[in-house]
Amino acid sequence: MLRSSERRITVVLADDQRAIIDALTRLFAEQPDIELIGAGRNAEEALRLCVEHEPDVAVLDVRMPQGGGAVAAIEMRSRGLKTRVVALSAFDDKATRDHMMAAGAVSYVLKDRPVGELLEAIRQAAGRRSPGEDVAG
Amino acid sequence: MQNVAEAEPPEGGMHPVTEMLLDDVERVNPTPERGIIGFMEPSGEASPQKVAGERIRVGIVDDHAMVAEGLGVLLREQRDLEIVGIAATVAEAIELVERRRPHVLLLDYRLPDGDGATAATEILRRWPSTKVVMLSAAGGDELLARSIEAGCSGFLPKDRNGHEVVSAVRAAYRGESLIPTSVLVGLLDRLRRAPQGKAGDLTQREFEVLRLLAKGMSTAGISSLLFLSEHTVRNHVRNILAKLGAHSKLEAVAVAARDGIISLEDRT
Repeated sequence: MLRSSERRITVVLADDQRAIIDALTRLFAEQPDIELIGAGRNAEEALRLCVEHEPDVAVLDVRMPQGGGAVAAIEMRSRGLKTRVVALSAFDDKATRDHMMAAGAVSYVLKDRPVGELLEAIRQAAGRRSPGEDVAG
Repeated sequence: MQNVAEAEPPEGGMHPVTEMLLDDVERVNPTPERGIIGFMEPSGEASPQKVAGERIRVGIVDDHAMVAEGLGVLLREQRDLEIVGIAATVAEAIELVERRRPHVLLLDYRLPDGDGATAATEILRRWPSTKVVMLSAAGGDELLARSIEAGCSGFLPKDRNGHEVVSAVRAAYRGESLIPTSVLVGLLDRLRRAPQGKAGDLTQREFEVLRLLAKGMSTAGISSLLFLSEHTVRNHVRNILAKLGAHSKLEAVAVAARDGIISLEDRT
């Protein structure tokens, strides 16, 4: 179980599709160990939120107006942020995946996959286990 | 209820997400009022599957599983709604309707094996009592026009939010057509640019009924205002649709506005 002393994983989300932000906002809110602290619609907003809050994890859409997740990820790294980037993508092609990973993403999750995969990627990026895993606690 | 409200705000203010969603709460009305054009279906026999107190059976079709799951969370929070199935393709959508018979189908326009309008046309041909609400990530007047022509009850564009989706599901179930005014204005612009259609020759009475439809009045409301039976009003509506070559009351109003038969500004 999640120890009460262990703070929740802080997450910033960026996606230009309102439907994705709405969906993930609701799905994150159901997780006891994840706290969404901000959501943006483009790379610039994602960067601003990450600089301001330095979340544990940034979930970044690979394609957004004014620069996709890679732009934000590279900029975050150059500013020395410790935030780990999880790429979120509608595109299952090697070039996009390689581009995101080269920009510093620690994992690449597809939008047509169940949300459990994204949650797992977030927990792994933050070095945490799933809330249900440590039942002995 | 927005789950995000449970998130603890940082010192000195709300989270950006919370602000965004609270903004939605203030902007969106749960019932069709100003800004939304609404048409009531004739009460009673027009919706044979409608039973007082039953939950609205909803199917979700979206190839992005995350979006579908998120919609599922939202809709499950509503005590009057029940999710009966989630599909990711046109083929799965048709199977979902066949096997689960939802009252309302939320249908994403862009699907891997076809588009939403084609799916809606097929579904409504085989199960005409189904209400289809089109969800479009890409917006666009063409998509809206095709959705209306396919017989969809509602159309939610790119920037929809949760409250609009819930409102649209309930409205569709009640037999209303909900399309945001901003979307309708775009459609009218498109229709104005299109070649003029055959407006037909409406009788004075049909013209009156059409004008009241454009104001969003129900069949019952029109019948009491014009001292006609609801049956007679429905006959007038049927004639209006035939003369204007429209498939729905909404399309009839759009065509009539395009052809200058009525003015949508006249919605007092």
